[in-house]
Amino acid sequence: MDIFGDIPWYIYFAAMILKVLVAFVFVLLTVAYATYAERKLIGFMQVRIGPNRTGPIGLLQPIADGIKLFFKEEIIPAQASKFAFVLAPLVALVPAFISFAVIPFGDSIQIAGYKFPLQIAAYADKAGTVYDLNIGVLYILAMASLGVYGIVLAGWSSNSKYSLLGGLRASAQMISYELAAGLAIVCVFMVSQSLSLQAIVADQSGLFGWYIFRNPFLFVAGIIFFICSLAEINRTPFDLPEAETELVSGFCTEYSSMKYAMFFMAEYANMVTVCAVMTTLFLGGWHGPLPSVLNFIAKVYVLMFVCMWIRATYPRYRYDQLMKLGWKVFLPITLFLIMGNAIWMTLFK
Amino acid sequence: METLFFLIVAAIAVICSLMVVTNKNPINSALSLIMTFFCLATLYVMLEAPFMAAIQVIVYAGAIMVLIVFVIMLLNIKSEAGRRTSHALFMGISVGLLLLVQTWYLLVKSSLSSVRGTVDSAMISKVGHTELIGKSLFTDFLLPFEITSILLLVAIVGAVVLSKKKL
Amino acid sequence: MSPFAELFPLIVYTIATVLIISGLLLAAWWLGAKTTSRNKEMPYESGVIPSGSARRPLSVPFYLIAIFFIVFDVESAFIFIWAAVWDQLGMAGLLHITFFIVALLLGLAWLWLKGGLEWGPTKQVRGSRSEERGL
Repeated sequence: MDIFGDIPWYIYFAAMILKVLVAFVFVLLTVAYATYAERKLIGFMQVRIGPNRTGPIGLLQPIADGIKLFFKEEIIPAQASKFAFVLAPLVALVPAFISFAVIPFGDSIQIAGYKFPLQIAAYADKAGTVYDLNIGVLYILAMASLGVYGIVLAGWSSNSKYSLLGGLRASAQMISYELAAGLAIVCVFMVSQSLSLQAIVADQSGLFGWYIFRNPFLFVAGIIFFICSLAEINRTPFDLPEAETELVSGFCTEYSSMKYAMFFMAEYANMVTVCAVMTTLFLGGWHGPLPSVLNFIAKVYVLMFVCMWIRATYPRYRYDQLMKLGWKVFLPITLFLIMGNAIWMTLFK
Repeated sequence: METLFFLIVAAIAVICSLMVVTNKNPINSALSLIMTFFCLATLYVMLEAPFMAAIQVIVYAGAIMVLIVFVIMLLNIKSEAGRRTSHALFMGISVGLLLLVQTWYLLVKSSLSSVRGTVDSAMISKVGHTELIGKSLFTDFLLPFEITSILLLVAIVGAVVLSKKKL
Repeated sequence: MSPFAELFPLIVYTIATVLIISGLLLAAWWLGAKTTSRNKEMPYESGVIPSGSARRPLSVPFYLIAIFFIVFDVESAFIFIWAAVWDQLGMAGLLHITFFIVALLLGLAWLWLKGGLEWGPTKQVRGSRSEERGL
């Protein structure tokens, strides 16, 4: 078993299983309580109370919702393509979860003389050198580009007009904004000189080490990345695919029970992932005054709050405005940002 | 353990690519093709070419397959049933066999298997795969790179010209 | 060092995620009610009985967007490569990538002028539609 370097294989395995469990439970719990937090927050912002019946101040609401959805009937429309119809929720949810595998959610910890980096796809050898997937940034982009299939499949396989329209809109929107988001990230690894997320986080210690404060081009890139990511995961104000007023529920119109919940979970899991990526790439990752993991979680939650706040504030875009924003504004701007960043960094080295 | 893992991934890749050609429903074929690309990406990572793996997923699975799925939806292709003739089957099998023999010949008889470049595993882990590609692309393969930009420009123009009646 | 040690946790995590999610789906299928009726299996169209197939051919702009996406995706792949080593390549690399980006920006500008990115009803389309109606 020399493939695991010089650490004993049982330690490697134990650390791996523990990290997988922790990350999975963290994402799952955050997803569950993000639905509650969002309903509560938007409730307050609209001078309502929000869920308050199940448990103290409605805290058991997500659990009640989950149990209810388990016992609901699964309806598969008669003319649907069964295989694709069942596969779609899975395809929508899995990329959202597995993007999390390359995100360092804390500083490396030392236990019994061994060093464990807090990142799923990473390990350290006995000398303490941390190895991680050295294309972490590209891995995130790759997973983001797969998210589109869940929605296309759901829209196509339902054999319903609303679903098809919702699915199509969503896919065109996602691929348009994926471009701008990918190009905005380029500015980050021009500074970091590495595609590994461990290296990117290590480079951002101190408040003014955060990439978003490094230079004006990175600042703009960070904001564009966040907006594009919101559009890519179909959050308000870019939630055209499920525009209730025109498309009933968009691509998931025909879904019921757990399958419907899967799309809902995918939306929130994507939100967690996007906020985690934003934190890692632009906001210093786990660096900060608190213990490293808490910094990371705090930053992610603040960003998620911003997402919810945006939802309560902005009206929905029109489709032609949305495509115009993606192709005529963000795409050229990100290309200029890359050039500008290169020139800035050559001048002020 | 690595060999076992390789065998599993390779088996999934072969099964999925068989499903691409045998599936009656075109969307299911497209899905199998995406899965095949995934397995290929995994194999690239195993061969210490992580950048290729990422590009395989981003460009092939993420972009080209979206277009193919769109085309299937655009043309509203129905599942093809009983359209295959024995003629096509015969030709397919003979071309397949020919390619198999050719590949085997190349692998065993020619010097292809014995050519070794300057890049090895130690160099990749020291410099990084993306960096190595970058350096050679921008020094030795500069002309092809610039021609690519023209090619991409032509692709944009071509797509617009084909789709618009009036320019 | 083999890349397998980094890849392995990723694979385990992926498999675990897929298994847990399909487990949830299976559990819901097993626990949920199972009654079927013709009306339940009809696609939802706000109470109207659906007519015709839902698999309508989609409009050309979606198809165009997919093509442009491939072009710009390949372009961004080249930009990723350059950005990973840009300071080692120095001025020469910057000039080459400028040429590359400018070529693509020209493509984008051409696209823009020719209306390849238009989504709303343009004047031209409105005109041709009213011609068809004989107005």
